[in-house]
Amino acid sequence: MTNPLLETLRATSSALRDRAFEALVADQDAPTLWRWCEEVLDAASTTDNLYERVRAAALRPRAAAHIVPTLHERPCGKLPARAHHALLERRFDEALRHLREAIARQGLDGTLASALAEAAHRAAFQTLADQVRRSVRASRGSQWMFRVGDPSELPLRVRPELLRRAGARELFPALVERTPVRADLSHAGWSDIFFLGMDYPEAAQVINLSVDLGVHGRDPEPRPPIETWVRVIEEPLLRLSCVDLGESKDLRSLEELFRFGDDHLSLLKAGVVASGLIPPSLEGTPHALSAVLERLLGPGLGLEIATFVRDIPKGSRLAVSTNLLGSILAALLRATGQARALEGELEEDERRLVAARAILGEWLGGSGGGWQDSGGVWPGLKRINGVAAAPGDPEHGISRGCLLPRHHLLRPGLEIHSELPRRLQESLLLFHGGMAQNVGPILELVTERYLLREERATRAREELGRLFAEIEAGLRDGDVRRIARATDDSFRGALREILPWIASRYVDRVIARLRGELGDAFWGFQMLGGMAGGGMGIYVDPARREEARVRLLAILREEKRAHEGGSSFAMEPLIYDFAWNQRGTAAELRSGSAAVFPWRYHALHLPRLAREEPARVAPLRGVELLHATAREEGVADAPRLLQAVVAQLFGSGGGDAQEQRVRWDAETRSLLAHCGFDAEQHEQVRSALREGRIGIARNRLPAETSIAPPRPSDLRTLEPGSRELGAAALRAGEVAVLTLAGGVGSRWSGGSGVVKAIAPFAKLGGDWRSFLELHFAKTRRAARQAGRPLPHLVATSFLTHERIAAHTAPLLDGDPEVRAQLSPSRAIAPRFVPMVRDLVALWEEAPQELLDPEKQKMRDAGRKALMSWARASGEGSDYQDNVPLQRLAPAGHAYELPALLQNGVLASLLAEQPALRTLFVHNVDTLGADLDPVVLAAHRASGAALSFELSPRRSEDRGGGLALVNGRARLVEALALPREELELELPWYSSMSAWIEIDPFLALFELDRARLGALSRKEIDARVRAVMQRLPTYVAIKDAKRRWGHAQEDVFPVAQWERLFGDFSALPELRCAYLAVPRARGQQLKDPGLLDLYAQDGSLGYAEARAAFA
Amino acid sequence: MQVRKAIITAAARGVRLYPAGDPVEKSSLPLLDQDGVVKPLLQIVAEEALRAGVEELAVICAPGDEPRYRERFAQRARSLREAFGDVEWAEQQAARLLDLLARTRFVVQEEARGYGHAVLQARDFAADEPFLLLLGDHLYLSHDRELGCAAQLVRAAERAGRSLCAVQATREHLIPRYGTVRAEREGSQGGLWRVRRVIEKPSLSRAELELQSNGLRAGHYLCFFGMHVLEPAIFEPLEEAAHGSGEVGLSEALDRLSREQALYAHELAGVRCDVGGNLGYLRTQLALGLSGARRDEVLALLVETLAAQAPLGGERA
Repeated sequence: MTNPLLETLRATSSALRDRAFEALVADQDAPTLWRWCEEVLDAASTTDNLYERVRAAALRPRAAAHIVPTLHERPCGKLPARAHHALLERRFDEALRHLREAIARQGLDGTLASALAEAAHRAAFQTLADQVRRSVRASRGSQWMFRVGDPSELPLRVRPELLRRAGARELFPALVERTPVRADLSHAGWSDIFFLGMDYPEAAQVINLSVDLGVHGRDPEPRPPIETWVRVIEEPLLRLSCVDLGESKDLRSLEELFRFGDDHLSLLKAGVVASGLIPPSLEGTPHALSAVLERLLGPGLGLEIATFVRDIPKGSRLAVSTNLLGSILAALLRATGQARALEGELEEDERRLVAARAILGEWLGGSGGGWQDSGGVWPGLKRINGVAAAPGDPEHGISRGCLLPRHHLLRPGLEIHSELPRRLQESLLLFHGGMAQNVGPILELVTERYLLREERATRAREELGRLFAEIEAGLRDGDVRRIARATDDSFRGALREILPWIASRYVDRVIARLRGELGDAFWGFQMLGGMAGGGMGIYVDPARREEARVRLLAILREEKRAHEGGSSFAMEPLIYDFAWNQRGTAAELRSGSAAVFPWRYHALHLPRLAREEPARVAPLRGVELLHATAREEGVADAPRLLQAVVAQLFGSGGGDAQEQRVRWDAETRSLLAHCGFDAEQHEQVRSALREGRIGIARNRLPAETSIAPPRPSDLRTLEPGSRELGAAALRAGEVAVLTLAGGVGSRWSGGSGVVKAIAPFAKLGGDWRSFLELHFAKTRRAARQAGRPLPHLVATSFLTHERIAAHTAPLLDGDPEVRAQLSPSRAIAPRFVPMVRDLVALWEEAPQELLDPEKQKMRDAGRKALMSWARASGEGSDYQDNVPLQRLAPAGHAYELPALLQNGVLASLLAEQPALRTLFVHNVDTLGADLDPVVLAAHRASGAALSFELSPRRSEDRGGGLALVNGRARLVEALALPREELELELPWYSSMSAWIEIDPFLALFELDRARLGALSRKEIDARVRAVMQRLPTYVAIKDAKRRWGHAQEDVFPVAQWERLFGDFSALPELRCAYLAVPRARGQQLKDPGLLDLYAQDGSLGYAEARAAFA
Repeated sequence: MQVRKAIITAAARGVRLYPAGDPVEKSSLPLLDQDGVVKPLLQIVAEEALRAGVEELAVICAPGDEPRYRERFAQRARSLREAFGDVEWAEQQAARLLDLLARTRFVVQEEARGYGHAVLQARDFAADEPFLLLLGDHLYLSHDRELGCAAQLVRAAERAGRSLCAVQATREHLIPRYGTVRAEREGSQGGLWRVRRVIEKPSLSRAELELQSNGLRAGHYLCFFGMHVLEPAIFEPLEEAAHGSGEVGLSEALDRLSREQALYAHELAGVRCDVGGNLGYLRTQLALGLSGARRDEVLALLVETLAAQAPLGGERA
């Protein structure tokens, strides 16, 4: 049989080439799929045609991923260490080779197939990223910047106008660039992703408007939100100031300039480099920055660049950062004569140059955007289209489309209706919903769906094409309502068809409520950017716009309060005022006293200058300060400046910040007191941490420990015939569920501290559901089958209790089938500033996943900065510079079980339901865990006190598993393995779902049912402590997000100690059994990025099928 | 086509040659020529033109320069005869000077309005004939021992029967100093290009977007060599530009010609020395000396000078 994948790959006709992948592979068995997959792998590695390589790159992983579910239940092999290391080090082709050899040797299994799928997927995106990178470097107008090797070859000079001044005691003129941001009015299905535009330029189109912006109620009127100020200074250095982020640095070496990741100035640095002022080819050369500046400016001179973003919060989906980069670039291109006019607007070829350099800058700075993002550089409304690569283009022969699209201005009265600007402004409301989001995975998923020509996505794309025409018609006729209908339709239909994950319960509720309240006056929703939740828009009847604005803000605030426990918010929602920008980026040269920088710049610099020795301060800085404070033109702003400076000098960041800190300290103390915090034990932990008795390296078992894969006899398999045994136990009321929900799920929200258990993560059974809703629904189904209500306990911690209580109360109020009860744990462990030793062990000694070179540089610089932070803040001291809930951690899920004894929940449950003898314990993110009678029967049949469920390992599973440790079967944590790669040898992965027999478990604590009810809390605490001290203490480094400014966030590594549930299996007096269960039952959703995979491989469907929602 | 006329622009003062360049026109600065005789720069340039077959010269000068030029040339001829009596080489040199003077017309550029404006002043001189255009402050040293740069260009123009601009492939970091062109190779013989676009002193970024010519090494552009054979058609765009108020550039006029009519360029084998550039005077003299009749003496002199230098940094002797 021929290989349809190969045919599709090589087809020249679009009918064959654009066939959907799913249709080609449907109903094929694993061996056939594997043969096809191998042939595609061979084809990809031998072809020179890059287009084929890209397509093949996308087909391979999906073909391999398609095989994986068919192998779910096949006993799994082990992942070759060489393949694992090659993957970590981004040598994807090598990883693929090792994996294919392993498959040839040991046969196809789930572990290898999933690893192959992952390696091929990563190789695919690497191919695509390389393609863009090549095009960026080959982009006309920028190639020379990669060839300058010596300052004497620098072709640029700063224009003489910037060096002209009235006298030696006068300021040099200031060049001020003002730049709007862009709003994407069409959302044509992410067609501005570079990969899409470069592969299918015909379909890449957007309509994008340059807008001036202000925050409603805060700013007097909308204006271009971005400003870049450039000026020559009499010091041979580069002074970069990002005034909004409160950061400024004097750069005196090239090395400092090229270190992009160690501060908040990366965008400014990338701008300086991408402008050619200091070209990228000078990175790593031994030249002095002053020598380069001398060449550019003359002896003894330097340049100062300051940016202002008018407090527009992050995540606005208005491409603020790309347009800020555009603004910096426009100013520097003017200053160096690469743009013709020093003042006013740019010409079309210059705007294109800015856009191309912005792409280069984003690549250098390790970030990325879409090709429409620098739209603010252009004026007004424009249609932006992909361009097919023609002979002579650097992209020709590499990709089908060019890197840069073409912009067609749509002018009122000509291409669009003359009244459109007014009508649009009177109807559209732009706002920020406040959510913190990571759009990166979305863009990757969209690309993949496109490359596979997925049927649903292809149909949705056709629909988006139709809606795009509708929007264009609306623009032409000045019919805003028609535009609104189209954008609303696309959000409700086509966009979600491509990717359901772009919306959230929060956004859907806000829209539904507003639509309900406004009725006909609600014209439509407008999604901006990669996903909804941050910056968004709605169209309303102009006659009711004011009312809509007031209601929108009120609804946003209410819904944010309702959702912020489970969803990550970076800020309070707000509404923008906006205006149609007619100029694009534009500049003005200011001289004499008008060249004085704005007061907020001085508020940043004055306190630093005050601490300097006067003799070291350059004379011109004094001249400028005099202008800014004492002379007529500065007087108006002087009080504000004084206030800001005093706040900085005498309070850490002003009175509000001080008050907040005091409040947080008090809250922390009261939380600790409430949890019965043991200060003495904490100090013991601290000294152990500081002395290195506990730490990342000490987590590991001794090197001489023998670790081996388990024997077949160590695992019990499920017997479908025993179902009735389990069902009878359920009917008899012998079983309860315990969901472990004490942690916040650091990976889930990148350390932002939301409660994962209540996060509405996906639409299941027709509506958005949280993890807890899903688990209750599974218990409900089991209750219906058992014909009796079932108890469902939820273990909470001080971090999660209140928010889970608020979430579950309305869900289960009076539920006749699920009797839910919370079981709070009081375990609490203040987090520490990490030991540099531990950071080194984690980041430098353990095998690390390499990133692509630019991102790697960013990460390395960032890590260096974080190590300095740890040193400066005091290693091993309490981590305090954050909100209380980020300063403290629950001490690991091992504590959530004995908490049942301590808080009296188990005692009262046993009193209520004496037949109860087994607890089914599972983690909150284990989607498929339920009271399956067959599994229960296997546990009962084992006669063990504790049965852990294990599933075949896939390559992405990390966290240890079942092993023979010195000859005895037990669970072992990955962080406790003497060597990292030992984990690859353990074929069974533990999802931490377990069945516990209550009586032997009580006996472990020298308790029984009677004593549990009779003993005092203190006595029980003592017994619990005695057992818990026998479990190992691990030190973990976790991410803690610190929010500041306008939706900015920094992530700090913090150290915490924890004890883990799996280690109960090491206690000799508890008899443990290990049950081999289906993969989907143990599937854990640790990261929102996995949702899509789980939707496709059936894991979500598996869970949904086991649930009964209401 | 026969090129009988040459225009040499010599109105500019050498800012970088101050203070010596202040009272003296740049073109009057003395240099040791390849034939071993010390001459004013203008004479060296003019002789290059004559060697290319030119019969009449126009020198564009600043107001008041003409009598000085004439007086100095006549004075030098007189001095040669007075000092060396009937020595043959002196008599030859004096005769050459007087011949040169007789062939030269001085045209005054009343106001400094750019290179194109200077060229425009010689419109009457050129009348309806093609002419060789040279810069009064540049020297051209040919890689061809037999054929000077001007002669190469004139011969190519006569062969092609059309205007030709001399161009040279130039490393990219230097192009912001020169008029730069985008061109396509014409015919199978080397050296001839059809010009499509001309931009004066472009930024590199703009050059990459608009001025890349196929067939050059990466990072190289075709730049004007400062030497052209032009036909009177050039005067029309110059005249139009002069009606405005700003500077009148030759490159802009050539750009118009390249788009509206046709413009060709010829790649020359030689080097140019800008006397007014950075260390230009010294560099020009060294280049002349090392390519001339007294090359060995000049080399020996350089070595001696180096050897006699005090070691840098003192202690490292």
